[in-house]
Amino acid sequence: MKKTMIFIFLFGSLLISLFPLYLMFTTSLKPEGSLLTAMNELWPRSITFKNYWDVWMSGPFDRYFLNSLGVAFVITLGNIFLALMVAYAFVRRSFVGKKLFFGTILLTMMMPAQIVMVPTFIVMKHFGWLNTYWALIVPSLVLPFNVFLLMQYLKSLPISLEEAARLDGASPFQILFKIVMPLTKPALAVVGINTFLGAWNTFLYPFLLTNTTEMRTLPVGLALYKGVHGVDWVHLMAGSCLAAGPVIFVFLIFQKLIIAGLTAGAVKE
Amino acid sequence: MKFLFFILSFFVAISSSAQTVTLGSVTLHVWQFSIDEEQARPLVAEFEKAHPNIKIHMQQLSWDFGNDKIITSLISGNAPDVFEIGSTWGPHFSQSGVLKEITQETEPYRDRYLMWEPVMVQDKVYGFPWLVGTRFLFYNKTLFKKAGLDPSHPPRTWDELLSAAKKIKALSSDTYGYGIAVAEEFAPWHTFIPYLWNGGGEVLSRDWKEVTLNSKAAYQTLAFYQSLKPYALLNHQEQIDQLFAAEKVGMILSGAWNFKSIQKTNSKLEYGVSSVPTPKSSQLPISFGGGEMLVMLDKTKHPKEAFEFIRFLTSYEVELHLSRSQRNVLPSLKAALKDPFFEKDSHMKGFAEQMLTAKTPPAHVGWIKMEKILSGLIDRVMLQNESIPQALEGTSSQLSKILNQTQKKGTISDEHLTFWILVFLVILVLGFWFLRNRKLPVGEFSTWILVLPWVGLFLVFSLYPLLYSLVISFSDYNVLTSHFSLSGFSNYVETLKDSEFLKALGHTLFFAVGTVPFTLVISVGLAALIHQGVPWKSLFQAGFFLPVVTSVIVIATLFTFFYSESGFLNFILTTLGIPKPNPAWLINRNWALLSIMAMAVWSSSGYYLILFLAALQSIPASLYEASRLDGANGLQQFFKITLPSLKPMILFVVVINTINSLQVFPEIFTMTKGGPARSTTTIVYYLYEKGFSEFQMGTASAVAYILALLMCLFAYFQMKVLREKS
Repeated sequence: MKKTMIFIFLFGSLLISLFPLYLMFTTSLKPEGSLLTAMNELWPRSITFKNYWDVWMSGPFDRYFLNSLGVAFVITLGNIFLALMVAYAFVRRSFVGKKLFFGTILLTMMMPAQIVMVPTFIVMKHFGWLNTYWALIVPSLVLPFNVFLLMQYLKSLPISLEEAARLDGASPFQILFKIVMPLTKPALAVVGINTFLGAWNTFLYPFLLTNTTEMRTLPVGLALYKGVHGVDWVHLMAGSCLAAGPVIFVFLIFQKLIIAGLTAGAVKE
Repeated sequence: MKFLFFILSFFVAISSSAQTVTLGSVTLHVWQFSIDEEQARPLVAEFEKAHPNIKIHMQQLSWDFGNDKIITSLISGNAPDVFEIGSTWGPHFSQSGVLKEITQETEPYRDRYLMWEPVMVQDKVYGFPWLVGTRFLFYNKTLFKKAGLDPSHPPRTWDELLSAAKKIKALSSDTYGYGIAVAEEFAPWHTFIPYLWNGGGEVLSRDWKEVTLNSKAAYQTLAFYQSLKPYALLNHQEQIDQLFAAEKVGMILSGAWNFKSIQKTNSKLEYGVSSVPTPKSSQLPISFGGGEMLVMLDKTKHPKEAFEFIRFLTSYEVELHLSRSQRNVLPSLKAALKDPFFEKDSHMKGFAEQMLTAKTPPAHVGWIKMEKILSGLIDRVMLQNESIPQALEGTSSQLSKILNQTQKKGTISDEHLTFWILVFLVILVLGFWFLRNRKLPVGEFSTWILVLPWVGLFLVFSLYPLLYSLVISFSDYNVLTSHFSLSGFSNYVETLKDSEFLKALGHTLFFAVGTVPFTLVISVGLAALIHQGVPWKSLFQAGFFLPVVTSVIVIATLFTFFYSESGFLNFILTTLGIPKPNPAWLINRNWALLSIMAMAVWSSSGYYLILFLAALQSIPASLYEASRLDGANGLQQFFKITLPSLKPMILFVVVINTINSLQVFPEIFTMTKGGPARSTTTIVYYLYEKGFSEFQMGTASAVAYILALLMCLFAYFQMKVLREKS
């Protein structure tokens, strides 16, 4: 009885939480011009995929898509390894400047993107990285948020396993990648999802730092599409669905890892 | 010696070969907003064919953030040779020194083109008017017929407009006679100022030395404008335009972009266009004119070629071609406005006729700030129900303040800024090295391998930008002139004294305090319920996260749609018989911020839910088993085991969520632009306005540091409170 109540409650909340996305999807299927007469239809009377086709054909969207995918993939991979290394060093090691570094990471998280935009642009120009993949990838390889998240998680892990491995003669890197990393799986999956999402959806920096069609990412392409063709809900929603699709796919992969963390269940004291 | 000679000749060879390449062809970088890439390609090809030595690299910018891109590239010295700016930005750019003066070059064209004022400083010219536009009256012929009005006779006078609006409003409760744009930056004043001018009012005196807004003419115009309110739809221009297309609004004052969007959304709509109504029928109507200017960078290496290209874009053929194919802009060339093409199309003809009598607003440097205040005047009268004399008085004094501000000019070039920051950085690192606590170990070799990749990135992409903005925050830095002078704490003092800043601070705190606890309770609660085991567990795990998958901009757009006058939320409320707020959510001063907050809770809960789900995995199952044997129920388990174990994650989420909430920006930018009546202006939005539309980077940086300090305080107390509990 209680279980059923909880289930019904959760299911109701889920419906509320998914409703706007449902609205986005159904709107994207409505034929152009029908929206004004049928704005509040729960299911479109006639379905069309033409909006998707229009958006896709309006520019080299396949290229935008591949750019977004490549950039987001490399950034995600970088964060999973590099952020873990940094977080591990912060939690388990002591070194010169640790506190200072720690304080400044916090400060970087507190700076609005609009302020660091200009100096970042200047750095990119000096490096000759404007309009290259370097500019899109390198600054995001270790995101402070991920370092914090992993630190928080690593702190809760028992140190005994690592010490045992050290006594067995394992090198520091073996300990990190063979022992700590598997234990951190749920947190790493969260890092993976969040980083991929962030990188996939980011608009401002790719827009500022790229100058040619070949270098554009999906959000930049969509923003320009919106700009030229005016606000037109059905196409806008189709574009948004196009952007959301791959991320949902990636999410489902990482989500399995979060649950895998449960079955691995290595944390037992 | 021989070796040296060899190297020398090698370099000579390289440099000379490089030179021949640049001599052979010139590459021009052009950034513009108005033409999409498909349309630009044949134009560029045509130009390149006629000028084989010039290569054009054209890039299209988005209207939303294109200006940010121009400004960022100007600061870093990476700006294109030719770019497009809107006419309101003309004065600022023209006076800044970043644009090339082209007075002589444009001499022969001065009489043949419209709208030079925005790019002129006294009698010097800094740009070339390109595509222009105006505001005019659209009226729905079908609604006119239904209301017993003559569809071939649009209202010419204010009285006729008012009585037509009344009759159309009387048709049904969800039909409106007229559309009044409110709660935005630009549209409210664009659509009001033609009435003001026709009524004999002016914002500034002829020499721009005095504010003349507080006049009898302005009072009468506003009184007339207010008399339309009971029969009008008050909303953002975009919504008004859409509802006009949907035959819900009888008359609107709007721009030519409607031709295309009406064609798309409701091609059967029967409508006509006409001039702005005037107080008396005998008067010649004045309309509002604005446009796009092509300008050249002062530092461009190829001024001749750049001007050549500007002339190509502003030629009779190209301007007419763009106007014909886009149908939302007009040529700035007067002769092209009289082309037979306009005779054939009644809508375009009406549009072109208006252009010839259009007037541009004062080309004053401060106009960028003044226009927002003018839009605020409409909000004051229409939304806040302030009395007209009071609103005029308040607005005038705000305008005078801007008029009396003097442009400060820096004395130090920013070219050396980077160098000094690097020096500063080296001193900082060395100082730290010598002053470090000698007892602490430097760290093992392997530790440094772990952190080294990050330290490099950190120094370049985090510390350098931080120091840069810190230095800037203590100076007067006009990004356009690229000169600055140190000003001590004045940016900080002035910011803290600014009542606009304090209001923004209030909104931001309200936003954070109103969203963080809700998000926390929802995400912890749902995570715990899912974790303790329900059927279809993985469905819930995935489902609640899905809203996070879409970007903030998409979600904000979606919710703008959801919250609109005829949107889904109002639809649900009407169905349930619950009264809906009037005006609709996002343009209602009392509801706008709350609406955005509700959206923020909705869209971020799933994100934190995932963090909690991951943290829940690290709680040993044995703890639950043991407590179950002791006879604890689910609720007891939650408070005794789950919550205490989640404490580190709760602390983390509260701190992160507070930081994120205090930085709320894209939602505001997409949904309300800080309106209505500045009721949703948050700190970062305020900062954005200062830096990127008023060009005061110094003030913007100071605001950022004040904000960061505030966040540190928050984080400190949160850590203290949450840690003490354990």
